[in-house]
Amino acid sequence: MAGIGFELKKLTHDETFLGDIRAYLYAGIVSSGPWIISILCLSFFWVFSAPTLDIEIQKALRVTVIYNYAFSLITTGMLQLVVTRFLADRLYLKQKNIFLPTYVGLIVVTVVVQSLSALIFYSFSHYDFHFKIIGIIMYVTISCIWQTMLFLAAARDFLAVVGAFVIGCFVSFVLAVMMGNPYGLNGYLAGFTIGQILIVFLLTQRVFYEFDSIVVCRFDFLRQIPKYFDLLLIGTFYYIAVWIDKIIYWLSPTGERISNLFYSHYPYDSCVFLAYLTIIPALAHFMLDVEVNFYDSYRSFYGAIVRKGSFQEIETKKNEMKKVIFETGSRMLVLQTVVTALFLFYAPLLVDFLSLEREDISVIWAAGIGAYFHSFLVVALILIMYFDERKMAVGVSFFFLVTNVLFTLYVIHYAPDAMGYGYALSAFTSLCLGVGAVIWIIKNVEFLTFIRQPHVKPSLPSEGATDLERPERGKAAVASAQAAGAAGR
Amino acid sequence: MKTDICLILEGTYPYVYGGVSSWIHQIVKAYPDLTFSIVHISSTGDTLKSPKYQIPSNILAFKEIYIHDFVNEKSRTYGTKKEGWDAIKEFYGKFSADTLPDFEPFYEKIIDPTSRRLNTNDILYSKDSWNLLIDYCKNQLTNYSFVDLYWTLRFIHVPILALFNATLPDASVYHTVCTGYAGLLAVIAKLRKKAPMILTEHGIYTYERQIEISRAKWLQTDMEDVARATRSLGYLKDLWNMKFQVLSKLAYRYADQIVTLFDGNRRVQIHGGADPGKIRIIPNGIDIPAAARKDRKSHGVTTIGFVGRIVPIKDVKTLIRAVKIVKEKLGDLKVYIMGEGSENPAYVTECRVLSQMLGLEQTIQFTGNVDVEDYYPELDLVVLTSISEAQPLSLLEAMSYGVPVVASDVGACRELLFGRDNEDKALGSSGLVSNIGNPNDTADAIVKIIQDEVLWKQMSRAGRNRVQRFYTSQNMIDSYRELYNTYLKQPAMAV
Repeated sequence: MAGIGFELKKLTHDETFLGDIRAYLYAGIVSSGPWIISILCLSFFWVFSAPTLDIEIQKALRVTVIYNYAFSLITTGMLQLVVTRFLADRLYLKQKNIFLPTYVGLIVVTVVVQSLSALIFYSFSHYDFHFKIIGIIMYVTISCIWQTMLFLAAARDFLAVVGAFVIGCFVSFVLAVMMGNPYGLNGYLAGFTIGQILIVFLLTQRVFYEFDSIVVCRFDFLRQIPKYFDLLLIGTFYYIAVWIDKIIYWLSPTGERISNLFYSHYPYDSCVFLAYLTIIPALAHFMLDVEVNFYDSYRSFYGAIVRKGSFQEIETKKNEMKKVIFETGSRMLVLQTVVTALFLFYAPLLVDFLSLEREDISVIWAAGIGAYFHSFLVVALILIMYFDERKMAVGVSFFFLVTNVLFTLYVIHYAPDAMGYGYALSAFTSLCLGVGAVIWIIKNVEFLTFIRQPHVKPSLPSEGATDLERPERGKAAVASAQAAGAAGR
Repeated sequence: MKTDICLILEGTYPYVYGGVSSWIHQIVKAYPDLTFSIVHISSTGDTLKSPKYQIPSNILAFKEIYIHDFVNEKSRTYGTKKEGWDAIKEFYGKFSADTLPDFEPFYEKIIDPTSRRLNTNDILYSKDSWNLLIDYCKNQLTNYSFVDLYWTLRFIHVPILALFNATLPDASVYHTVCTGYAGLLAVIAKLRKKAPMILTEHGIYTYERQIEISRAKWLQTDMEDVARATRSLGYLKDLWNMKFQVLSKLAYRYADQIVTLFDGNRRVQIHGGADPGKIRIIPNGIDIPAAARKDRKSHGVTTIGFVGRIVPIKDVKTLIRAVKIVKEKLGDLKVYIMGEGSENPAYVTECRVLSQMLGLEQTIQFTGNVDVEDYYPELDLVVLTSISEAQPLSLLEAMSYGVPVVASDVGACRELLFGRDNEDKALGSSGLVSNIGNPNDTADAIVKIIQDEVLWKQMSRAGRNRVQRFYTSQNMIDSYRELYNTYLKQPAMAV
């Protein structure tokens, strides 16, 4: 994924205003990835379909889409980092021909597992047979989208991603409205799903084009799970953490039950999803900054080690890198603060626009503040992963999960008026932990880089016990850790 | 179970053929009334190894230590870690090429399992350890490639750490047959078990390692920045050499008795820090064969032998080149290269290829590992071209069979061929010495002996007389018997 930076540099190179904007847009869409796209999709759907729909159908529609997004993100999120790491390792070993077979393997696993789990889930639903079938297909389709995105990120082909989403979402929207009128709920869902299937096809076609090789099915990546179990944990904890406050609100006394199976929470869902949108500009800015500025200093730091720099040179590079991280963080801080301030200031307008209740303004504020911290938390996690400190990333994402559960429950039971502040407090405390981790890592980065290296033992034939060991393997290990770290996002 | 003697060995008996291995086998068999245990230090347990010798029944225990199969142990520590780091700073801060600081505080705080402040996990992975390294690199090694320094320092220390955790068999006397890792383990044994330590050094360990280090391919430059690289690499080699020098100094200091084979080595040991008062010379000894050659063969072609492992340190290539020159001068001849090269198959191949390139396939025969006693009676001359030797058994054997010798001027070769003292020198010379790595010189010496019947006879006789007089196994066995008896009775001397 680190490679995106080179493409972005080409874009920013002509220094025109338009070039900048394009680069920001792409960076935002690709880097914040599935999560933001799903929020955007939902928002569009909700804003534009709301006025024309019967209130019950509207609710059922929204809740089905939310469920499909939430649970597909959580379940595919578990494997996401493991697969990314697997691909990065293979890329480092120059085994690009394993990408397509792995892609096929991953899609097979996804389709089988997600179909079965969706089948079980929907079998408890009271809706009709057609609804169930469409629900299952939609769930599997959206899962496939996330998995395909992983590969296109590795292929640095974000233009294709943007194009596919624009086309697919447009088709989804148009078909949903067209089919919704004659066929009701099932028509809306079917139309929406067809657009999503189109996204999968467009993206898959890009994958096949990018990684032209024999189409066979390989499941090697599954064998990486024990090796990268911590990556599995990071993905699992983080994605559950992102959704857990919503799930808790759905099930809380103020939650709403839609049909027998779906739960929803009216002001909370809308406010939080809306607040999430404030993350996009700053995160996109950060991604661009990282790829364009930070990645260079990061590479030259590891380069100084591998290319036999003295300790002084390594330290100099480290200080440069530190400076770049600080500057990047500061720029993002300014931008995010401005966006959040505007969001909070215009909250009353948003309340009217979304036809929410006046008292929901405090929820929007809470969600806005939470999103403010959340956006830096994402950045902290990305940096931790950049340095391949996986155990710390597990710690931070687990902490986010636990605090989000505890604080949200606390607010529901003891301070119901402070709706949303549980999430905000959780994001804030997790951010503190994450920032602490990043500071510690950067302070100790040379130590961590070296001490983490495995103890390679020499295996050359020897004159007795005294043959001299070969340090090349150590160097190779440093190099591979560097590559892995770069790709570990 | 406590044995009388614990032999601490490194990369030798019973897995490797060679002078030291034969010597150990000889010693153990010579004292059936004494019990032995062996601690053998080798590189890794990866390779399947089979004993090359029939283990005598008085070896009661055998323990392997693999210094490169390092297992990190978070074993118990005592006191504060700071005391440990201070002990390390104290020890490392003070040693130089000439001086070795006081070792006992280091032993107590770092090595002794009943009092150590740090375990190997602390030493390898802790932040404190890293800080020590950084201070060292910042203060003394500005401008050197850090990644090389890091791995060099690490690989220098890991095998040593493996010895800290080794368990040792009980014995009344610890006897090591080299300095280096085995020497360090013997020092540890002495301090831990409060038993006397004997050090026998055949070849000078630091010198042999120095040769290896100077040849180590991975320490050669392959980088763009050659100016810095060479400086840095020179320094890395110095670090390795320094390690082995320190280990030798430690073994010399703690040995109650140092034994070596000949005076040249004794002088090197003194130069390396050994107390002259502790050194004693006990030459190798062999059994004298009943029959010996009196005359050159009157029939057939001239036959020359080489006895030894086919490894770079024996410089077999110089021998092969010399054979080519001799063949041009003398016409037909036969050369047996007797010994195996399983340690370094690539080198064996190189030697075979060289022999073919020089058109010597018919002349040179690689016999592999054979019973040399069958060959000596057929040989007119034994040639040795090693770049390092101690007191080669193959020369003693050749001389005992009355076969003259051409040997490179290393180790004890000169005194074996010309005599040590006046009484010895009076016996005459039993061969000629040639310069190291010089095929012309070696060939000249061969031709000179082969062409001169009178000289040949005189050398044959001198050789046999010299072995009978000074180098019988009985001499050696009596000397070691006396040595063992002394230390079996008395506890270790204070250092």
